[in-house]
Amino acid sequence: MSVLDVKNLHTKFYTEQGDVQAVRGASFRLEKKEVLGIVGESGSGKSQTMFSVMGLLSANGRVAEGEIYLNGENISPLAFKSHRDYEKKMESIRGNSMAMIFQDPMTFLNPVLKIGTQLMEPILNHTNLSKKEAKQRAIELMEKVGIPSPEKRINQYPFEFSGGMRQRIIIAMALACNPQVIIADEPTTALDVTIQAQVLELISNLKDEIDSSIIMITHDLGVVASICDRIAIMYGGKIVETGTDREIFYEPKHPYTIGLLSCVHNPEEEKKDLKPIPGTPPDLLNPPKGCPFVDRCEHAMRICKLQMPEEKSFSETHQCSCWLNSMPEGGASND
Amino acid sequence: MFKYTVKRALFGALTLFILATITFFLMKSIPGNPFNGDKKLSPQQLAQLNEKYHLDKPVGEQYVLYLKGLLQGDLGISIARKKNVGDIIFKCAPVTMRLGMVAFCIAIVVGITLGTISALSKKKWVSYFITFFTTLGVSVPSFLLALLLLMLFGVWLRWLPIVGLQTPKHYIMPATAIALYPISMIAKLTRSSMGEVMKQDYMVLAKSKGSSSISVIVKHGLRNALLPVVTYAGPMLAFLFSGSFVVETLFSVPGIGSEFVKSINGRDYSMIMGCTIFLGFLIITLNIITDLVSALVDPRIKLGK
Ligand SMILES: Nc1ncnc2c1ncn2[C@@H]1O[C@H](COP(=O)(O)OP(=O)(O)O)[C@@H](O)[C@H]1O
Ligand code: SF4
Ligand SMILES: [Mg+2]
Repeated sequence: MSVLDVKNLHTKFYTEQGDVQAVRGASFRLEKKEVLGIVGESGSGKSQTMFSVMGLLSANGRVAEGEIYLNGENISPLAFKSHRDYEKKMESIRGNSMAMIFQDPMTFLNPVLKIGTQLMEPILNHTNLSKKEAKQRAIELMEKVGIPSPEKRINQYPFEFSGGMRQRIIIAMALACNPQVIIADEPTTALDVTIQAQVLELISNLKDEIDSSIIMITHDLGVVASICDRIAIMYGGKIVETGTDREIFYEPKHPYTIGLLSCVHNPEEEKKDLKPIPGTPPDLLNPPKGCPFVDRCEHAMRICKLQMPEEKSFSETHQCSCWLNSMPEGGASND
Repeated sequence: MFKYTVKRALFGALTLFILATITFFLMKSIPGNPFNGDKKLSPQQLAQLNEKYHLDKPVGEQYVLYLKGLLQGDLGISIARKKNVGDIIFKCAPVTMRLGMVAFCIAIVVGITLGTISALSKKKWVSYFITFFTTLGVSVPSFLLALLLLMLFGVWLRWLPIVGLQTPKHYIMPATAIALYPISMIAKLTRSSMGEVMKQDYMVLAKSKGSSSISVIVKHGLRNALLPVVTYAGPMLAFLFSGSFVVETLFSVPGIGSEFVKSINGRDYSMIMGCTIFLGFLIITLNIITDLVSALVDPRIKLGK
């Protein structure tokens, strides 16, 4: 059984301009002790997919459809009788069996509470430890994520920490209760380049030490290459391709994946010659009926505009949704 | 922190000195004196009185004499009441302060509660109603509310006593009349800052740790949302401690507000000076305390920088 199994997730935001369909039928699995990378440009719905899983959507957001299985139990808000039941369940899960690491360490820590207070919170929420024991545990966690002199630092405030150190604190919070699932939402994006490498190395070392399964979100395929077992490519609120790291890097099927790869492939040969995919992601207020990538795809066919491509399997682990792969032989009419 | 406080106190003393000087000369520049209206006084008596209160001397000399007294803690004799100004203030200021403190507590508790409910309520009519109430609250003058309360609960229904401050029951009407404005201001402030805080990323992280919504709101939200309220509360308390002439007069409260206005009307020079210096001292002190409290609530505030 997968630790986490998300099926056909739809998430909408109700705004004055209309419904923003941020997630439009995303499906993925996370196996035990696995590191799954979720990659896609900014705005493709990665964060909101995870916020839906954690039940952290902002007030105007709703899960509209889909199932979210944690250890076989459906924890989608739609599976509960009332919002109160759902919140009660999620309070016991959040920070305990599922924890999240966020994108911007500068804004996700409470500026007026001591680091120790914030770090002890998940421990006090989910264990029977006393305050003193929780503090001891917090100090251990700070050591684990590489914060020097934790006994002193634990009494300081976030503004006394650098960005990299704050992100280590947020990582420590996520580790606090040995969660089964850790969701890291672009944990290095907001950091300086040198710090990025350090934090990535920390995560990569931790993943071997702990028993958690990890979802690593990024918009940079280069980041996931070194630490992920499997990779899911997300675009326009959908997972368009999934595969092992080898499958994605060496046998990419989806034109979008291929486009992303061309942005990272030759770092040694040419220094700054990245080739970003021309065009912009689809408008999620009025998402396209067919393939979300159609406006930017070199291979777009008529059917791509009309109908959502079906998912095709290339191996047990490799799936892709693109008409190029699932058209019956000779059936493509290119125009 | 200690150094900062000392520095602020010295600056405060300087401010107070300037305030006293300006008031003194302004007061003297207005034509007339305390005995003008009194027809019964003979010219000799008038001359005697003027001499007794140094009113016959040049203004510059009067000023020096006054400062000398002030440095020894002597605020002079009230011309109208023939009593030591210091004694009068020490008798009536606590009355006002007690009433002000009650109003302050009401304003803080009710204001913060209303503001928080208004910011968090999912029912639209709740926040509309609170906005209506607070908008009304900042526009209705306190004397109007005081009169309304007095008529309704004091005269017609006879539920509440209308004279003085003898029992807790006596406090209800005057305190409500004074508190309405601060309640409304605090509710508005809390509402807008709480609304802002609810959108902050750290609220999401707090929730992601498995804390209940209540604990997230109280522990992470309120603390941040109250920073602007603290900045407002200090000067507001100073304002309440200065007393309201209208409310104190309507409810026959022997407080400093009515005392101050009476002294101005009667050209009671030493009393005017005494009240001005006392209220100036209160305002300056409370501002210093506000800054110290802000620094306690928000660790990012570095005092003295
Ligand atoms: N509170 C919200 N209201 C309306 N739209 C939102 C809200 N939050 C996110 N979105 C929209 O959802 C889409 C997906 O966002 P997100 O999941 O953050 O993308 P990613 O993490 O892949 O960069 C974006 O188009 C974004 O504008
Ligand atoms: S389905 Fe069509 S438009 Fe979409 S990626 Fe494949 S070829 Fe391109
Ligand atoms: Mg994101």
